[in-house]
Amino acid sequence: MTNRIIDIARGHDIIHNGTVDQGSYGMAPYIAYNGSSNYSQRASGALKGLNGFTVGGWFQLTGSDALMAVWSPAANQVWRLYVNGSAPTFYVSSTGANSFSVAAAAITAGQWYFVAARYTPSTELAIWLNDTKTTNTTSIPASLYDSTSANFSLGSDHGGSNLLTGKASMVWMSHEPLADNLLTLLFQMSRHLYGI
Amino acid sequence: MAVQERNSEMVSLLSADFIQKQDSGYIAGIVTGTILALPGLVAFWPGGVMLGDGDDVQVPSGASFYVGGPTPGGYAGVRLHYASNQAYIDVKDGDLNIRIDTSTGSTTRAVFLNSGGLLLLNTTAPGSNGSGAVIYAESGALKVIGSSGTVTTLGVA
Repeated sequence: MTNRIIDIARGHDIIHNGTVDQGSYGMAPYIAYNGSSNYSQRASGALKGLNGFTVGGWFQLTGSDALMAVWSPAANQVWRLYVNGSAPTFYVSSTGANSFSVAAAAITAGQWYFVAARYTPSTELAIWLNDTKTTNTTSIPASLYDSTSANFSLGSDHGGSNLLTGKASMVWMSHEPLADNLLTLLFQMSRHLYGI
Repeated sequence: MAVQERNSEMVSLLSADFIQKQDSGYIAGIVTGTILALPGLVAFWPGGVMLGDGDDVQVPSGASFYVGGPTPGGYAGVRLHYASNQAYIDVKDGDLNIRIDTSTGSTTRAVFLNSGGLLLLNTTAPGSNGSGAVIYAESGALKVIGSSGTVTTLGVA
């Protein structure tokens, strides 16, 4: 049996590639990614979130890396959270090739951040960096591209590309576009775990 | 006017009975519980990794593994079952394949076709079975061998 990141909600365990580097920041467990060989991946299935979803978690970020995604550059783009330059950015695609996005403010390398993203079909893309929300409401697609080949990745965006240098902790996904106040509450109640 | 002096030990004395706002153990618990209670939750990876131990996922002999619904006949799913007679059940391309043999699985004996009908794969003539008659397919013909060894063709190829 391979090393697996455990999903304690619905059993969507993720196969971990490379060395396992796990630890805890105080009482907060995390998985560390080295940016060169470690990433986690599984078949996307329900994690494609085609008809609306919210994802979130705490990440210690350093630079231009992918956090999590169902994304293949070969015309199989679905969604991804990616630090573009120094700005965490949420992308979605309805065609597999062309994407819509919304970018948060720039990060400071080495800090822990609460990062969440919400896709509300036909309405809005939103990204939270801690408790700051940024939105895009222009031409938001009614559903996402249903790729049959793009896997779900944590710590990269496709097959080990754009590898994360940093840590991931308390990562989750919901098929509901969750309310603003719920996401703010999640940040406020968990921030002290990460010294924020 | 008398002044009430603050008891500097009060906070620590009360901490046994009252949760401190920034108690990391308390926060970790309520954060985990809150995430698990999120509407529509499909996955929650707190950060734990189960290290591979080289073991297969195993269902004990005599027990069953269900995919889909937990119906004994596989009506709303597929049941995999193993006992001393080495039984296999699997589904491929919409057909239900049943193998009952001691090989590695390459000799599927019967296929319930998604398009309808029961397919018996060609095989060499089995020996007679004193317990009854054996129906089988050979070179495309449906045959039966009786308990005394008489072969009768039920349908030509």
